[in-house]
Amino acid sequence: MVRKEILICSGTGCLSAGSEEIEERLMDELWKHELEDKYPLTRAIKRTGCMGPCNLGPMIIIRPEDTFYGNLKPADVERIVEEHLLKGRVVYDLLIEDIDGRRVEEFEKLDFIRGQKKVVMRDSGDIDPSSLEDYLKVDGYMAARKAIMDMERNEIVKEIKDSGLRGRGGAGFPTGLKWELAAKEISDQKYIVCNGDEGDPGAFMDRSVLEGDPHSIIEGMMIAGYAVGADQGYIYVRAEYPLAIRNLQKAIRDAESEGYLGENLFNQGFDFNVELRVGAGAFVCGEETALLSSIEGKQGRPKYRPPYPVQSGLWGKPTVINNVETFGNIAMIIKYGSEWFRDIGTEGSPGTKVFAVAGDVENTGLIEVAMGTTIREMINIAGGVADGKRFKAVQIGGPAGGVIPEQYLDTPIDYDSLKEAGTIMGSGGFIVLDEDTCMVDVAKFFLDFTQDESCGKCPPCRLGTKRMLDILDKITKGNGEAKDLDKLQDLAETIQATSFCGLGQASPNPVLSTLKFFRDEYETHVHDKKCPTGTCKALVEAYTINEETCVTCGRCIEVCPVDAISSGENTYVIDPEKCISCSECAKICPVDAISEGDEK
Amino acid sequence: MNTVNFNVDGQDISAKKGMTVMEACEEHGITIPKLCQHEALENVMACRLCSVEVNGKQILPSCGLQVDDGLKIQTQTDHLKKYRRKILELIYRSENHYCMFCESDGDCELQDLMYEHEIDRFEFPRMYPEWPVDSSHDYIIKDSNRCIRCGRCVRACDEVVGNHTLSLGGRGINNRIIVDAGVPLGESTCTSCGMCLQVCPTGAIFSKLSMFKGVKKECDMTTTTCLSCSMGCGTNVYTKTGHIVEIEGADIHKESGGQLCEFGRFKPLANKGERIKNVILREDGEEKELSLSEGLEKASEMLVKSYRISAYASGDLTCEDLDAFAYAMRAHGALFDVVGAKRHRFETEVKRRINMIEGHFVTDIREIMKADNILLYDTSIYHTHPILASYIRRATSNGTKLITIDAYEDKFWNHSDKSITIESPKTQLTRLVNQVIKEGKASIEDLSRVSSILGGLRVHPKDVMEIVNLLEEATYDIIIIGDEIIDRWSLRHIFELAKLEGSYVISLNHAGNQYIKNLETEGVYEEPEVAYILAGDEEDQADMKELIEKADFSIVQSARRSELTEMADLVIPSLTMFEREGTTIDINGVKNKVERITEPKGGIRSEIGFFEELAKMR
Repeated sequence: MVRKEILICSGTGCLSAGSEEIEERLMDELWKHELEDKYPLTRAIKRTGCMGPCNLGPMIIIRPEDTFYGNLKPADVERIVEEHLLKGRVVYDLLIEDIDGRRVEEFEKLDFIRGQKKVVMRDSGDIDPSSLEDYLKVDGYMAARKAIMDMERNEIVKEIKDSGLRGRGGAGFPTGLKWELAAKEISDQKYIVCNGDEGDPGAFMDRSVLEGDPHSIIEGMMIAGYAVGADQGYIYVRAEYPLAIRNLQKAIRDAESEGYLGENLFNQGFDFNVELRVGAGAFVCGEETALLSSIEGKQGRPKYRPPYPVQSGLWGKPTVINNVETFGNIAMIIKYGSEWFRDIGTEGSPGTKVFAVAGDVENTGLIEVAMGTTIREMINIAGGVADGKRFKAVQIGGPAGGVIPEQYLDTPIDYDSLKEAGTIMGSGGFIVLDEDTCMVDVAKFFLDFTQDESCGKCPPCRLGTKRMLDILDKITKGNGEAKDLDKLQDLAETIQATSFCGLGQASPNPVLSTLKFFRDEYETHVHDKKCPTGTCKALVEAYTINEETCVTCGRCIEVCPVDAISSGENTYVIDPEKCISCSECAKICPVDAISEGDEK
Repeated sequence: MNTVNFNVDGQDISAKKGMTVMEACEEHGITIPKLCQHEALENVMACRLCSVEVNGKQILPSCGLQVDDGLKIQTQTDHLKKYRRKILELIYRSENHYCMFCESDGDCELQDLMYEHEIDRFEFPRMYPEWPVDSSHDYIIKDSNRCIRCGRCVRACDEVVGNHTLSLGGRGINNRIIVDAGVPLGESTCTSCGMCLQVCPTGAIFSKLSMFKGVKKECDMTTTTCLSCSMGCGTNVYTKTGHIVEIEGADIHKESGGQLCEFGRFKPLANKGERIKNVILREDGEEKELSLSEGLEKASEMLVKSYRISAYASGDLTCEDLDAFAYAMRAHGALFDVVGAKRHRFETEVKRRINMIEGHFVTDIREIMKADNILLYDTSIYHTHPILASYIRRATSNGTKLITIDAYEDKFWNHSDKSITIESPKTQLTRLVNQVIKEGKASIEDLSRVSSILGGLRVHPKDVMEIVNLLEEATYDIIIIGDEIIDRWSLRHIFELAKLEGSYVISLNHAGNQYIKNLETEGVYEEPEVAYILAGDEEDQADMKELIEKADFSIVQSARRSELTEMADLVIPSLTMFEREGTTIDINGVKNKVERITEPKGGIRSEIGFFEELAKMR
């Protein structure tokens, strides 16, 4: 009998969905059935990093047959062990239903997975991130070995340059060029810094890579260090990522004790060490100069460039600073060559990009696609808009990005096309918004974030974003004035033109792009004092129940959070004084008897 | 190729390479609005008001942009004006800027810019933030409601003073200036240098002692030299109708960055004793007021009839005053001494004894900032020479190692790499260090043996070893000796250590005017018949009191009433620091001018004339 292996996703999403309890139950069951001889407990169950389809968690994959069980409840575990492991029969009703309603047995055959091209996320969900041995099994550190033993420094730089890899942090600066500049600098000390200060709301790809495959980042940094002549690396991670920190610490320790970090690596006289630096969770520290200040122990505030970090970075020394995802690509490029990498993606943006897909789609989670995939295809991979609703827009690029409406759905995802469509690649936030989303509210959400995260250095950003937020707040509360939209536009222009760093310059983007594509919605808020989607509570009138259609099923009473509904003679009545217009009752009503306002 | 040519607003300009566009423009009379930039501080490009249009496309801050050949700069386009007005309004309306209630009304850079940009109506409502006002400090009020977060005070405290008391805390709209870890200023590590209020562009940080005294723009300003210590700091003194309104540092472009210390900036304005206007004679338990000529007669009478006369002068006088006093006293056969001169005499003696050459002495104290290692012997300079202390702190922020040795509290404890506190005798440690260096690098066991032989020494041998290692590692090390060291043995050991290690020495004494090094002084009689003390407005009067107690008859010439004048038999009026005129010599040997700021308000016009008279009357 082939030895089975149970992979259990232990990414942050699954942990919070209860994967630890599933794991415990699994161990109990294996023990109960005395399977521990067949599957030594700790080795049969493998905790992996993020597998991708986060809303299916907790999830397990049973190997070698690759059977995938998702959305598990502790009670399901017993059946899986008894049926699947003991009798070798797949438990059909626990399989995941795909978009077309088919139950899919194998993980790789899920629509969500089939559409993807995994490069950076290659090992996450496949190996145990806390095990160096596991990483070595998937050819870990072979690329570093190849680079350090068989390649000249300039060859590596050339390879990366030829690959066309662009910085995955958002701006898309060619990585090879950055390395080349740093390699040319003459200095007694150079540094490699990995930017893991992922701060965009809803973005968690760097987190998942750091949690699920920490060694791949160390390997990428090591190759960079060898190529530019640096012997010290720093990984800057936010304190909010405890699992990433734990896994990285373990990975660094293991690599050091097994000789993959330290002195005289691969006997080639090359030293490389990596240290972890934990940020205190300031969004602006994702900006490279602010991040370097933070590592130096100073306040995380952006500095003037030039000099760029490649000339004078950490402690005034030449420093290569790349994003986690960028480093995640390096080993693969060295291993398979730049030609292979160029074949993926588009001419201007080769390779893949990981997106954190969230919002109103069927399947949320991490999706890695080849560049050039259209936005429409992305949404299809994620199972389309949830609950059969209409698509309204997609917000790409986090708080620095903008919204893309329906007419741009066939825009291919690459740095240049997204820029043309009025947004940016950013770090890879991808939030799908359905017809029920208020665009003013979306703009307000992102602006609230940026004004809170402004470091406070420049008045246009510190005070301007606050003023913009105040205006949006006014509009959503029904106090908007005609000139407010011009004020917004004016302020946005000043902030864009005069802010110091990318955070400030990009902070008005969510407002500007929603104003551009959905100006009518703003105007409805301002002139008609109405929110078309019913999101802005202050603009929504109390709900009423239509006597004739009401079937007095009582569901609305159950869902009303403020007990505003009571039973009348033949129908139910909503007390307009108590109603907070949350629309829960209207949503649950089976006969659509509840509507906003006094319509009969 | 040291100059570059470029164009500003259609005007061709050449400037030195390395300059910023703002500096070059200012040199050519083109002013660009600014709030966060200050010539003594690093440019951080925070306020964005100085943004200019570069080559018709980019908008960049001119305080950060370096000049380059062929740049085309526009400083006054419609766009820029619009942005500046918007930013100014954002700043002005976001905090509580009510000019008529503000102490800095008239002296405010924000107010000036608001006028200049003709902003008289506003698009945004006030935000009415409620920041607490911190008035816990003796001299300084910090009102965050008028703070524009330009960060000048923070940079001044870091870069110029090296004290890091102020910092920026909070993000976004909650960004504010915090003191240490959020304590009131009065309970903080603040050294009361007042650099923060000197650079503050608005009324967010201001001096309690200058409140309600007048608008600086309407004052007369005189540049003079501070006499409080031997650093010789330049001061700008603002006066209005004969009263001093405020004192500011003048040396903005020098190393000191225009800083002053508590003694230079605040103490002269703080309320001190009552001015002495008439001569006071105490005879048979009675106090009599005499005229100045009667006083002169009484003094000369006492001097003429006595043989053992001790004359003692404050070190904070001008060269001319010291000369006149010395001349008059010598004429009456007195032994003459000045504060700080005793230390200088010991030093000369020890130097001769051990053959210490002048080359071992630092000629320019600013060298401190270039040293790899500083050994500070006696940390009282923190209070006696605050500007020098700031140089040490700045050096340590740039990586210089600091070893401190003090008998009591180490005032540099949070800057020191190795802090040693030894109770008397202090000299033992240096003797030990000397011995270790002589014998080459000793092991810990050897050191234990040495220290046990010396016995009673409470320094762990490891500490000694660390000091030795630090000294050996450094290629350029400076030993600074504070002015409280007055025994010959301590000086000798330190000098010997310097000789052995090839270290440079800065030796400080208590006198403000280093002219005392040129004066012939010989010390004073232990038990004189007459003690004549020229105190001026010296505050540290312990030596003087001691001298009076032992004298049969004492004459004190002082500007203000104090414990000292209460003890004296004859009190003669004197001048304050700002009423003197002449020259002073600083620690680098440079002669500086001392200007008369205010007309003498005491009972005496000129001490020089008084002493000339006294010299004749023998």
